[in-house]
Order: sequence, then structure tokens, then C-alpha cells
Amino acid sequence: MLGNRVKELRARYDLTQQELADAIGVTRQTIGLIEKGDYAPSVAMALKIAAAFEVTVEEVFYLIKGGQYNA
Amino acid sequence: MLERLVRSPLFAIFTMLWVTTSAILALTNIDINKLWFTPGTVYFILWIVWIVLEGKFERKNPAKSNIRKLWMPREFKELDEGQQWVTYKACRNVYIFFSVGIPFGIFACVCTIYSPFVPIVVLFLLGAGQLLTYWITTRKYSAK
Repeated sequence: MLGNRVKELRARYDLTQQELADAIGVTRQTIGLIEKGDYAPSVAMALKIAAAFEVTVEEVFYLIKGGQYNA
Repeated sequence: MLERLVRSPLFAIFTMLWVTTSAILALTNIDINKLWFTPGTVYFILWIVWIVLEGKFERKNPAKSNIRKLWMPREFKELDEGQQWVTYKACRNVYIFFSVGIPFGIFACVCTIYSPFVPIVVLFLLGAGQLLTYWITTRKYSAK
């Protein structure tokens, strides 16, 4: 399962879901789906999200194994 | 309000209900031409109203507009990969609904083979169920 820190990073950069969505060219609903962990984005979108926060993909997305984080 | 009306499946379900009722009325030998309008006319008017409302909504909300081919279902939202995923989940649930609903529908038709109304009602229920299943799934994910 794929975990993410999108919500945390968005709060750090003081961005709304809509602002982040506009920055990477997707809908606000898609950002909501990713934050909730419902939807695992494609590599291209993961790279765009990481670029929007000026961090690496690994700093935004990580694997969750057996309920423990594998950051 | 306009968005809710345009995006709601109730309009399409109401249209199907009207067609179903008209078919049943025709089968019961009621002269539907004696009614103050024919079902075909009403269906055509409802279809025009739907197109006008959809056009108005998409002009007001160009960001939510979705250029579609004529044969594409109007409910499909495929603006980005997240929306495509929601469409995939909704279509999956509709497939599950049909895989259960169609055998039940066939069974109902076989059990009432002498009634001309049951196949029409079954078709209406399958159509309404399809729309509701799709709508409920997309609402579940778009509410987040």
C-alpha cells in the first residue's frame, strides 16, 4: 500500500487542494483521493507533486507494510 | 442547484420511468393519443431540456466541462487520471450490479412469461439500478 505526505506538505507550504491541483494540472478531487490514500497516482503525477513541493518522490510517497511505514 | 440537477441521475431515471409507463399504457390498449400529449413528444421535450441545461452548466463551468463524443455516456468524467480511476470504480460496480441483476431479471421474466409488462419493468429496474450504482460510487469518491 502506498502512503503519502501530501496533506502534511500542503499544510507546510500553505497550499489549498485547489492550488496544488492547479499547479500540477489535475482536479481538486484527485488531490483529495490521493491524500485519503484511495488512489495511488501514476509515476508521472507523483513526480509532478514532488516537483511542486521541491522535494524528491521518496519524501512524498512511501510504502506501508503491515501497518508500519517504510519511508 | 443547476449542477445538482444536471449531474443527478434522477432526471434520466424519470425519463426511463416515463418511457416504461408509456409502453405499459400502450400494451393495455389505452389510446395514448387521447392524452394531452404523446409520450414521444414528452420524451423529446425532456431530452431538449436536458441538452439545454447541460450546455448552460458547461458554459458556466468550463473547468468542469468535458468534451465528449456523442456516443459517450454523459456521466463519464475523464478530466484527469484520478477522475478516470473513479470512472473505472463506478463501471466496476455497475458490472457487479448487472452480473447479479440480469440473472434475477431473466428469472422474473421466465416466472411471469405470460405477462407482457414484466420484461419492460425489468428493463427499467436494470437501467435505473445502473444509473444509481454509477452515481452512488462517483459521489462516494467525489465527496472527499
